[in-house]
Parts: sequence; structure tokens; C-alpha cells
Amino acid sequence: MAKVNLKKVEITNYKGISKLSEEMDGNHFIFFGHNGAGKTSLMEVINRSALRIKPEDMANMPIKIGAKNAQTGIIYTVEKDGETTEILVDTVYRPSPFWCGNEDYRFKE
Amino acid sequence: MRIIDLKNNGELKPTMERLSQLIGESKDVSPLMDMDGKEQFKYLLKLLGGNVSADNFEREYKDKYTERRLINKSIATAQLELDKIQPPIEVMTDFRAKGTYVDKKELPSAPDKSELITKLSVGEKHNLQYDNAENGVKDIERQIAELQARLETGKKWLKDNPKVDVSGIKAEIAEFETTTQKDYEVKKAEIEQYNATVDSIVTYLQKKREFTAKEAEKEAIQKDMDILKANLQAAISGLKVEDFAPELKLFNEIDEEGNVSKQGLYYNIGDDNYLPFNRRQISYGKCIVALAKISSFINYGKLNMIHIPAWESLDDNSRSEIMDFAENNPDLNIQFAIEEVRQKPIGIKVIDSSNAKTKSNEDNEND
Repeated sequence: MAKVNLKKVEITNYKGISKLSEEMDGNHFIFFGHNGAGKTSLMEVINRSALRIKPEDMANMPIKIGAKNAQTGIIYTVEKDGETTEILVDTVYRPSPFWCGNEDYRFKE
Repeated sequence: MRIIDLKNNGELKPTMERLSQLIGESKDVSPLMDMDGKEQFKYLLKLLGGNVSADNFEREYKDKYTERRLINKSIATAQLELDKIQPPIEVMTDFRAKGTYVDKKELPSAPDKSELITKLSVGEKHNLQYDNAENGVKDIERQIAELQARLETGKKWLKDNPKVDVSGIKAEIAEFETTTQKDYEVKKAEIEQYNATVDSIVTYLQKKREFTAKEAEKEAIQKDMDILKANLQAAISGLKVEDFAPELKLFNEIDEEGNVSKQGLYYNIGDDNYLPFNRRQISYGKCIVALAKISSFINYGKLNMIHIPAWESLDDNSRSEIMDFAENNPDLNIQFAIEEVRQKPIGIKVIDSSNAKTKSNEDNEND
């Protein structure tokens, strides 16, 4: 059976989140914080990298005020036929009136 | 937006396509618990890529139903018309056995008595002349003896030109009216009746053909309706929700008119008693556990993450139901992302699946 799990999340200057780095390693997890701390932004990053949110569905530029750019990195593990592969989805958001066009999106296996 | 595949010598590929190949486009099943049955059914069909949408089915089936109702009406009207013009049984027997009542006959030309009338007119004119002449003779006899010779001539003329007998002609006319004209009237009435029968046979046959055509049309519509139903059944045959979530059952009951009587996900509360699957009737914990099972099936081989918002507002039962499920199914391809409001900056606490319940409780106590 193929299993795809979230292994690690790294977020810098994304909306309300200054810095966040956590390794879940495929386990269930609780993400917490006060109202406005960035819990919804965290789910947005995860859903975005899992293709549940398309870039055109994101209305605002997701860069923290005062920052030059925002960066998110998500690592997934894919277990299939006894082999485990790690995928890094790394995205950099740069300020622009049309921010979607200034998005670098890369990954490595 | 581009992708760099470091394993493939930096070859550039469309990001979304490559990501989709690797982690799949996982589908979010959580909206199911906030939907009504109809919406759930459509959503599940959409998630599983069903080739018949419930929308289309209902609309098409209703269209066909209306079409069939109209045909049934026109068939009833046609039947009524047929019954009205149905010829008597003996006429139908002659029509089938002897082949009569097929073509209309031509009426013979009406007999003409104008010749006799002319003759009578001539005779009567002559007689009038006679009467005038006779009077003239009488005047001459009375007044002028000298005109004896002329009288003699007159007498001679009278002798030479006797009165014409018109009684024969009158008798002939009387005879005409009592026999020839009557015969004609009788014959005419017979032919008219015969022709009316032919007309009714022709109309009957035409209406019968229309009736048969309508029957055939009705059968074709019924067949279309059956095909639509069969297509929908085929589309949902892959949706055996109870196979992977035994507490759930997907209902899709549609009546003859195409109206949905029971549709969507139902939760078995015991002894085969079912309640609609939604947050208003089923506890949040049970909803999440059932959704996790559905998500495992639908997102097979893809990222399968269930987002649980407002954890702090859930009751203890719901929390423990979710944690029990997480604890007892460590091998299931699922990850719970639990969102909780705490008076702290943002952070993430990992739950060890092997001891989920204890760890979670500890977290709560510590915070």
C-alpha cells in the first residue's frame, strides 16, 4: 500500500508566521497558537503544497509585512513497494503586484 | 513557475504535473459532514470521478418522465378518437373478408326532365294560341256574316288543327316523379352511406397507425429511462462506502418519477437504524472517524490529511473517539492535523500514534 505522509514543515515570513520548523515524521500533530498566530496560514501552506489550493485561489500576497520574501518548505515521505522516497516542495514568494508570477516552486526527490 | 528535478539533471518540468505524479492531488472529504444527502451524493460522485452526475441524471430522468406523460396523454386521446370512429362489426367483416369499402364509388348523373318540361311548355303555348283563335272565330261569327268565308277557313283550320292531348305528358311526369326520381334518391342515399363508411375506415386506419407509432415512441422513452437508471447504478457501484467504513451506508433511492426519496450518507446507530450523516445528528468525533476511513479509501496512495479545527471546543467524547481511532490504527494511511487555540505563539506538537491518547491528554494538562 502506498503511503504519503507529511514529514517536515519549514515556514519563514509567511503571512503572520515569522519562523516555524517542525518535524512530524508522519505522525498526527496538533498545531496551536492564539488567534491570529498563523494556524490557518500553516494549513494553507500544507494544502497548497498538496495541490488542494491552486495559486489563483490565493487572493493576497502571503509575505509577512516588512520581509523581503516568504519561504515555505514541505517534506513528504512516499512509501511504495517497500521503498521510501522523500520529496521536498520548496516555494519562495517575492513581492510583486502579480505575486503568482514571482513564485519559485521547486522540489527534489 | 517551474520545477527543477534534481534527480533528472535539472530537467525542467511543469511543477503541478510532477507534484501530482509524486504525491497525488489529495481530496478533502471534510465538507461531507456539513452537507445534506443530495450534496453528499454529488460530492462523492465528483471525488470518485463518476461518469454520470446526479444532477444530470435527475434532470434527464425527469425530462423523459414528462415526455412519457405527454405521450400517455396523446395515446389516451388517440384511443378515444379510435373508439369514436370504430365502424360496425359487419362493416369491418366485409372490409376484411370481401375487400369492400376500400375505394369510393362515383355518383351517376342525375336524370334530366327538362326535355319534358320544354315539351309541356310548347303544348301549353299551343293551347293558348288555340283558345285565342277560337275566341276570334266566335267574334267573327257573331259580328261579321261576310266573313263567312273566312269563318269557313277558320273552321277548316280548327278542323285541321285539333287540340293536342297533354294528359299523356302529365302522366309521364307523374310517373317520373314516383319512380325514376325516387330510385335516384334511394341510390344516392345508399352511395353516400357507403362512402361515409369508406371515410371512417380510412380515418380509422390512419388513427390506428398513429396510435401504434405513439406506443412505439413510449416504449423507446421507457427504454431511455431504464438506461439512465442503469448508468447511474453503474456509476455508483464503485461507491460501496460500507466496505471501508462499516458504520456508513450510501443510499440512493429514486422513485418512478425520478424524485430522490433517500440519498446520501447515513450512519448506522445500531440494529440497522440509520441517521443522516452530518454534524447535527452524529457526534463530531464519530464524523471525523468515519471521514478518516472514507479519506483513506478515496486518497489511496496520496497525502491523506484530515484537518480538525477548533479542537478546544470539542467535548471529551469526541476527542477520545478521534484519539482512540488514531491510537488503534497506526498503520492506516492517515494524518490528523488538529488545530487548537491556545494563548501561545504558533507551534506544533507531534502526537505519537503508538500512545496517542495519553500523550494528547498530557499536552492538555501541561498547557
